[in-house]
Amino acid sequence: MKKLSACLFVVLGVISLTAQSPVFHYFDQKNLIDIQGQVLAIDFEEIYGKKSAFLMLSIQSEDQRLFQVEVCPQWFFTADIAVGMRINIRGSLLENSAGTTYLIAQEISLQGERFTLRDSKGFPLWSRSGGGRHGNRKGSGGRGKQ
Amino acid sequence: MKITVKYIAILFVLSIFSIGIFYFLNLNNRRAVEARTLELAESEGRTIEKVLGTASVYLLDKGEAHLIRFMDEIFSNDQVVYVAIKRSGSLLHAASKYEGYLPLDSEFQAVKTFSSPLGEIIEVASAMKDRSGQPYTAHIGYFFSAIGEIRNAAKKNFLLLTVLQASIILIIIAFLYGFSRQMLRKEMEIQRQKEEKEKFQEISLITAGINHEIRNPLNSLYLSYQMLEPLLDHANQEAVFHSNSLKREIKRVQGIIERFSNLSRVMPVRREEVDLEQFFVDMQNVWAGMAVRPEISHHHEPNMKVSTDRSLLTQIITNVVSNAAEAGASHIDIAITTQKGKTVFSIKDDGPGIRREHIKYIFDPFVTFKASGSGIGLALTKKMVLQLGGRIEVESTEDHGAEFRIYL
Repeated sequence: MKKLSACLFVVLGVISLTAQSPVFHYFDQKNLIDIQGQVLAIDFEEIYGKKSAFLMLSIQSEDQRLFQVEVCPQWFFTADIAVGMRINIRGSLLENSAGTTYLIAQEISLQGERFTLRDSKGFPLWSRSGGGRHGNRKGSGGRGKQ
Repeated sequence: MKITVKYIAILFVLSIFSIGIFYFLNLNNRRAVEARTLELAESEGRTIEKVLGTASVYLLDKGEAHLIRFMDEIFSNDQVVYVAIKRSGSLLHAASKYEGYLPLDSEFQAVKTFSSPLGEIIEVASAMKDRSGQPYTAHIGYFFSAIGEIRNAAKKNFLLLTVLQASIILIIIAFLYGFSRQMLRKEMEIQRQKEEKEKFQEISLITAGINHEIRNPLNSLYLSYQMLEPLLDHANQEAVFHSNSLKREIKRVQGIIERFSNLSRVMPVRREEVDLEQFFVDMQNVWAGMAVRPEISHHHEPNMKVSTDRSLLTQIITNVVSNAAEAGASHIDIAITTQKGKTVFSIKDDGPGIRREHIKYIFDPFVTFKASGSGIGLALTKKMVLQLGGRIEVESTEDHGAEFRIYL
């Protein structure tokens, strides 16, 4: 049963990650949602041209919806993340032409740690001068907690 | 004392009030600078908005692609953060220097400013319609770093000015406080000296009366004794005992009267270089005649000399040492040092000490806390010290001895 579930997750992950990201996708501060779910797949994509590859997650929410989540450049997020982990995400919801539900993450909670990735208007915190690495960790547990 | 407390309270309120006024003036100034800067930035934004509007209408007439190319050209400028074109409220084209950052509001606003982690951003938006009447808006967001710089400079200046002004006020207040305290202390010292003078004047009157009323009859009495003494039968032991007793008591009363007189008498001061080594050799002879003699030690730098009246200094040291010996001290230590140009005689004993409530009366004339004492010794000592232009103070804890310090 466990093997079957794992295979299903991988298949779903591959399907969702092969879906294209929206053409004019941007962080819409009026369209924020919170989702809770499980990581189905982890990938890295060069979605902003030649800039650093972005961490992309495929998530299945508790109501069984599938989300493709744009997190941050891979160098900015170095917390331990693995397929099957439970995750809470707040982000800006977009829908692309292919109908995939696309989310630009603002904040991620993973294993008791909270990572702030963008400010309230969607400004990416990795672009701040002296922004540092690993996101803004908050909450209890884990490395570099605040 | 009440004046001091009131004065301090007034100074405190005044300083807080002054700092408060300067704080609000500086804050007002800072806000005015910030507001004016923002006004200038928005004015510049309105000019850009007019240019953008005119150009966009012209380009849109040629086709959407022209407008998009124009916006992309603008986007290539370093200061531009993002550009966007909306058609009928939906995003037609956008570009951002920061991944996914496009802070567009749903409500149209020709010029707006907002903060970002990298500084102030001005967004200029222009609304237009194409030939078919379809509405478009073009948005350009660009950094106006000067706003942030001016704001930071205003903030820095505000803090600097406030701290500087507060420091100056506090220094002035501290100076005023110190000055007034000094004046008050001087005034109190003058008052104390006046009271002391009045007290001595009263004592002078009393001692002058005693001199007049007792000294002469006492002298006659002594003369009569001297005439009577050779007529005594010296074989009669009882007569000899009473004769000696009479003589001793007359001498004692004469001694008391002499000391009373010294309290009111102006003592002449004859200064000379007193070699302390020799001085203490001479003192040994004086101390040898003391009824109760404790162990006395003294120490000072070799070849130390003091410019003072030898006779008065001898009496001063003798009085203090006698006082300690009479109080029951078994060891007295005399240390002579120099502090701030003054010679300090520290006379420390291991006697029973002085009770705290007695200390302030210790130099008052006719005040004694010993079983047998006239209350003249220390009063006279203080008078002699003052006569030499010095001061005397005492420090003591009950049962732990006393230390007299004489500054000459």
